[in-house]
Amino acid sequence: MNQVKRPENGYQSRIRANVIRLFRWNGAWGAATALMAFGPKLLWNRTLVFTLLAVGLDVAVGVGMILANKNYLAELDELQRKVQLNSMGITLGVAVVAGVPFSVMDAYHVIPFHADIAYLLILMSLTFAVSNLYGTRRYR
Amino acid sequence: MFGPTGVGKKLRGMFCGSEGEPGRVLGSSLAGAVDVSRQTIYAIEVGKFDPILPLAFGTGRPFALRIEEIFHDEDLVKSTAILNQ
Repeated sequence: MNQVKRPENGYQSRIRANVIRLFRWNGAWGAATALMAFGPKLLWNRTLVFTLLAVGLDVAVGVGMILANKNYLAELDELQRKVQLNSMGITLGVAVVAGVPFSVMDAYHVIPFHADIAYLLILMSLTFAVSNLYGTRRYR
Repeated sequence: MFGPTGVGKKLRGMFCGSEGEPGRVLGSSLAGAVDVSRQTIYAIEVGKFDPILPLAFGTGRPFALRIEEIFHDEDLVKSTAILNQ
């Protein structure tokens, strides 16, 4: 069955542009973080000045990503913003509730591995994705 | 009889197509007119979401309706009904 593709309205095209911008900033931040994490060992043999430059670049790109996210949220309509707010609230709660015991378990050697920040980032990403999907479907 | 979140039949009726199915074309036109997503208009239409004032005013504008002709204070309706019993 053929579906007629409806033209985007101004809101949708604006949000699409913001999502693409946010996606680019996220990609740039991921690349800058990878450079900061692996560069000292693989690229410049732990030269301090290059490491500091990589840290500065990562922070600068991170600020750009935060601003892009802020602009994206500001452009959303109130329902979409509500969904995002709920997702962020759940993500923050899960990060605190799971992060502190995880750190304590590492401190007392309850877990056989180091409580790396990457685990928390993965948990936060998954929590945000699931709660955002749930919130979006809830209003369909 | 009004919807669970205060949207009256009048607004829902305006979204209905000529065949009696949900009028997404009208809904999408309204979304464009008030500068929100189609999902937001649909959520208002089916009573899942109550908009704040600027969007509520904007929703009635294309139909030349006042806000109280579209949205109803259900708590007031219920409490009035209880008082009248």
